[in-house]
Amino acid sequence: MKREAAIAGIGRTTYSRNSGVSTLALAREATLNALDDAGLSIADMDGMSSFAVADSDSVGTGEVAYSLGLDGLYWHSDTVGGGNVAAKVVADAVWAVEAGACEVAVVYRALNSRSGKRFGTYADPVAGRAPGGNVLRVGGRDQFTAPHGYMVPGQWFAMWAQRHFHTYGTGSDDLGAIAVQYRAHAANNPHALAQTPITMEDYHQSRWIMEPFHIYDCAMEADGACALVVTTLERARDLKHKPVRMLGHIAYTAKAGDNDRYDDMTCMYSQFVAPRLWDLTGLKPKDMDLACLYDCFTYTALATTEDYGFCEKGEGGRFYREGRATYGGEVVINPHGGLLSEAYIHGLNHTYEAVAQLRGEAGKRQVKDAELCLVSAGAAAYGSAMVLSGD
Amino acid sequence: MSDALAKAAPPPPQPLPDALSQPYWDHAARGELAMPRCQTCKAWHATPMEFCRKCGGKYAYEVVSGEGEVYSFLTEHHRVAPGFDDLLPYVVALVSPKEAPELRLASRLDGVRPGEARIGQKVKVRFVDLPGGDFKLPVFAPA
Repeated sequence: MKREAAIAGIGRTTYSRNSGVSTLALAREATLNALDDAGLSIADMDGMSSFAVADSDSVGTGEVAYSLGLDGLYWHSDTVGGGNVAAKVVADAVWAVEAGACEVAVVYRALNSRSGKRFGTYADPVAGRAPGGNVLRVGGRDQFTAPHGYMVPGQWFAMWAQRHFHTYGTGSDDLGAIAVQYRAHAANNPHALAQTPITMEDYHQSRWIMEPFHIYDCAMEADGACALVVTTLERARDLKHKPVRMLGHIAYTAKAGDNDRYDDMTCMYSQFVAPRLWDLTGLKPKDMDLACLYDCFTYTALATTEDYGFCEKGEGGRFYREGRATYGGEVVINPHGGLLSEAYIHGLNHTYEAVAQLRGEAGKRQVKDAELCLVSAGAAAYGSAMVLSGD
Repeated sequence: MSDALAKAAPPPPQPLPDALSQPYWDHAARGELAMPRCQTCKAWHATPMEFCRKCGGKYAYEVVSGEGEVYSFLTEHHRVAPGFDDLLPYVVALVSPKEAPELRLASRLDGVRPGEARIGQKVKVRFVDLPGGDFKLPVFAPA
């Protein structure tokens, strides 16, 4: 019989604006909490999986294992990538356990994305200077864009949003509905960084960042870490919590991940992932009780809500405005508040939330009888997604 | 670094040309917009590569008309890098060049005020001095 793996534990740090500690300390704490949640100890862990955009924004698996007193790991995977790999790193651990490469793998993401490196700017926010000197010199593909003042992710996705506006008549009320909805969800999440509800008026009056994005369209950059424990389903059934199984995972990268090259900017990578994922799992969007959709910006959630098939193409804004993406609607999307309101833990916090919900342990924000959850990761040209199920 | 230099407004990001991109900047210095084109299958590419992704042929830069159309745009209100404070808010577009409309060139839209940009708008390249160095920067402006 095929050896099957499951998620057996979840852990996290406090999400904050300034952790005051290193990413190593954050990763270590989240790992310990996840192992404790599963009822396992450090000595049980023989594999790790994580991701980072660059060396400077996280800490590698070897360092974390070493800091916990382990002399080595039998399986480890350090993926270079952004939110697009936040589901893939979980699948990697599931497959490693299923292949017998390790028995207990911990998946984590740790970052100081508020007090440390921020993704929304190339500049030193205080001095207005380029990091490391007075002149920023840019090679590779960016040499053609950075001199125009075009180089950060929010700008790429603003282009995509504007194209959707043009094609489908989408507008600020549609993006605002997502920001307001997710914040209302976060009001029931005690560990969300932003829990104070906002109104559409607040949204419209908030400052522009890269138009058509207001500040409330942008992820809540945060310091923190979260972690998941993956082990065999058989072992997980003897541990403290109900195991959560991965029913399928698909990833797609279009055109080398260059967002400016994507053919139709009213869709995202999810237009390719969705049909394969639904085919692989034999499930449909309407089978999902909830979805944790990657929402680095409101528009990412809008486009992927459409691409995964929760509504028709072009209807994403209306889907949120009509209350179909919340409790009492068709599917609860981002009950934790998403990256927009819970915290930007680069998307791994979406899997944490999915597991809490599928175990029935999400407190006031619990989705009733939650059995199936779509978790997506990434935006624009590249991303990954998986379907999770309670055992 | 002297105190005066440290306090001077920092320039915008400067290109760091390599062997593949140097011809682009050399053309720009002469007031020409050039794009890489496969010399075997004649496919255009927006950014240089060593080999054509369609047929493996060699690329060479060819001068294009500099005419195009706005595929999408944004208005930047926030400091994303040094050197743009005086321009804020400014408009950046993805431009589909006439010769290869399936491709997109990112460019600040010169002479377009926030609220004036339109998808489908016809644009034409012009060349401006990039502050802080000797580079001429191709930018698109309303045709």
